[in-house]
Amino acid sequence: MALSKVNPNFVSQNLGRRNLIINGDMTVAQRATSATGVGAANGYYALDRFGGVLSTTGRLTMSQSTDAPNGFSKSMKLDCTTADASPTAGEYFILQQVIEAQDIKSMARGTSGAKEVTVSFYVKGTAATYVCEMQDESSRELSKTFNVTTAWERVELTFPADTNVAAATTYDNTAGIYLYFWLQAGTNFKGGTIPTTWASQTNTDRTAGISNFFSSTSNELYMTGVQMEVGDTATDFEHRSFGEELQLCKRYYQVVEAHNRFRAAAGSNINTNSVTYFVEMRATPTAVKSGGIVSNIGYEATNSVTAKGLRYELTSTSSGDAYQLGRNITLSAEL
Amino acid sequence: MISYVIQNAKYYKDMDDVNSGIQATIDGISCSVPLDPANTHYAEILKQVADGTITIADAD
Repeated sequence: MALSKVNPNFVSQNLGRRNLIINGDMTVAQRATSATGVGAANGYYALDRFGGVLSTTGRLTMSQSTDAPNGFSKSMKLDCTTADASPTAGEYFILQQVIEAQDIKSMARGTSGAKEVTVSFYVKGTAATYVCEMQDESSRELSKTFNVTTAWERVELTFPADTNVAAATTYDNTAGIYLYFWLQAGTNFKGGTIPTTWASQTNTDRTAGISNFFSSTSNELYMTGVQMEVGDTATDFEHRSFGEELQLCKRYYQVVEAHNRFRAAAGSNINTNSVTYFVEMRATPTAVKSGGIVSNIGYEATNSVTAKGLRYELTSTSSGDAYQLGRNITLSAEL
Repeated sequence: MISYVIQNAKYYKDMDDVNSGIQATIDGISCSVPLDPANTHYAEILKQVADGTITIADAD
C-alpha cells in the first residue's frame, strides 16, 4: 500500500485557548452576585474581571443573572436604578476588561504580521446602540457600534490589524489591551466619526451614535459569552470549566482566610504566619482585612507581600489568649 | 487605568521597623497597598502624589 501524507483537517483558529477574555461566560462572581449603586466610583463590583470606568450621576445594579442564551447558564445583568437622561459633556460610563500585555502576543500588534481581532458576545435588553472599543496602552484605539434588542443576539465585531509601530507592545504583566463597552457618553466623546482603522485617541470620534443607558430607570442590559480572538471570524464561544475560569480570575482577585491563635506571655508578643495564595497573582496585591473574630490583638498587618504570598503579623495587647480567627484577606491585583 | 479616590494615605512599618506598605482609604475601603509600581493602587497613589492631590504621611 502506498504511503501518502495525511493533512490535518482542522482550522487553526478553532483550536482551544483562543479566547483572550476571562470570565466571558459570567460564571465567576467572587466579590458578590449583585452590586448596587454602580456608577459612584471606578472599580470592580460583582462579576470577576469586568470593571467600570466612569464619571456619571447615573447608577445601576450589576448582578449575575440566570437569564442566558442556549449554551450558557449565567449572564451579567445591568439595571438602571438612577437615571441621568441628559449627561453633561464630560460624563461617561464604560464597562471594561483589561487584558495583560503578555497575553496578547498572538495579536502581533505593531508588526507587519499584526492580526485582525474579532470580539463577539451575546446581548439583549432595552433596545439601544452602544459602542465596543479596543484601546492599547499608548491610547491607540478603534470603536465599533452594536445594537441591542429585546431578544438574545450574538454580536460579532472584527477589528483590523494594527501594524503601526506605535502599537508595539512590551509583553509583560501590565495592561495590554482595554476592551471597553461604552454605555453612556457626553458630547466630549461623540460628535465626530468613528474611524475605520486604528488611530491615536480623538475623544469626539469614540462613540458616535451611542445611546444612553441611563436615559431611563426602565433600561436593562444583559451580556454573556464575551470572546476576543485573533482572526477575522467569530468562532463558537470557548467554554472552559468553572474551576479553570475561577483559577484564571484569582490571578487578579482572591480572598484567603487567616486563622491565628497564640498564648501571649505579655503585651507586644509577636505571632507571625505565612499566607500562601491559591494562585500566583499578576502583581503584588493590595490587601483588605475584614471579618472574623479578633481578641487581644494590637498590631495586625500584612507584610512582605509578594505576588505569591505574604507574612501576616500580629502582636498581643496583653498576656493571655490572643487570636484572630476566620479573618478574610481580600487580595486585588487588578489592572 | 482606573483612577481611585484615595484618602488618609500613611506608610506602615513591619516588625523590623521598615516601611512595609501604605495604609489608605481607597473608594471608602481601608486597604494595605504594597510598595510595588505594578500594583495599580500604588501606581495611582504615586500619580496623585506627583499631581499634588495627596500626600503620604510618615509611619508612626
